[in-house]
Amino acid sequence: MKPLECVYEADVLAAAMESRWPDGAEAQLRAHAATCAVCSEAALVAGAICEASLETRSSTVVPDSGRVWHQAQIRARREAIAAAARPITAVQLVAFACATGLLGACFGATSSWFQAALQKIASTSFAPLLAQHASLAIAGAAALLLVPAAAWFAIARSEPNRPN
Amino acid sequence: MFREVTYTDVSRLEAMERAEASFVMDEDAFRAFYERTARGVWAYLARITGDRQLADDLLQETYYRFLRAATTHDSEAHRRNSLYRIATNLARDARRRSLTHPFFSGREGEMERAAVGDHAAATERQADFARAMSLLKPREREMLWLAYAEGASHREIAGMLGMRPASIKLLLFRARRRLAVLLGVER
Repeated sequence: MKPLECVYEADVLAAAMESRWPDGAEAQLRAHAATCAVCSEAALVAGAICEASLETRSSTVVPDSGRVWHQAQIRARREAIAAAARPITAVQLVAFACATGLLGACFGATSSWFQAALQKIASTSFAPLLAQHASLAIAGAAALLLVPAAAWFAIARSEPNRPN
Repeated sequence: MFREVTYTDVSRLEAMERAEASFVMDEDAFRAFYERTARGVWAYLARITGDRQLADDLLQETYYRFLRAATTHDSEAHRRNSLYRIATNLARDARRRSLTHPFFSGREGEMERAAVGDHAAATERQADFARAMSLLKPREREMLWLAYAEGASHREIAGMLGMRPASIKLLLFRARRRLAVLLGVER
């Protein structure tokens, strides 16, 4: 099994990472690396990575720092506004549900034909009634499930990305 | 005519003020930090993803998330480590999203061709290096770049990559050996 480290490894790495390998390194260190698997691998890999790093850094043009800052500001404001609007959306939904419920209750309390229909329903068994109006019952049940689900998705989709 | 200011307007303004106050540093400090680190972060992202375009996108996202992260940094090194941790996580997320469109899909020489120009030998060497990197596992690429391009310590690498410090030494050694073999074959 090959050794994991060598006492000269740090010196070889330092020379390679400072672009001094092999010409700028001491002759003794070069002679050692020629016979040491750990040091020769370290020199080869660190040298290649440092060369690639220098080349990549020198050839790239990164966006201007001011532009990155202003884009970050704009995005943060947009996300903050969206986040501030979310509780309002939720309150509006609850208020709408309450108003609908209240209107329904008033209608039920004041409408004579509705009360008569309710009494008729109460006096008859549900099975034939459901069979007669199956599609209406299914649509009502689906609406009861889908409306809250749609509201939840609408709120969840407007949530901005959270930072790491 | 002035429009009446509503509750919504006030809450929007408050939200905007809060958004700016939530940044971890002011503009001057950010610009100085960005100038010191952006090229290094871009190079890291480009080399671990193998995609310049993606590196451009991830660079902006990295700095945005860094600014919004509710973290206090006690030193420049700590700030830098946070930045690279965010960059690493973003690159990993992008890799997961692109499972049907993997990184390093025949575009390994793209960076070198675009960057080096007339220097044929250097171009060749860099293309070989990019190909060898593309054959490594993503974590191996991350570790090697942080260790030898950024000069990060084992503890710092562990923090940036979300790994145990004790495991870095052996994994880095194995990654280095793999890359040495690949470069030896290539060269």
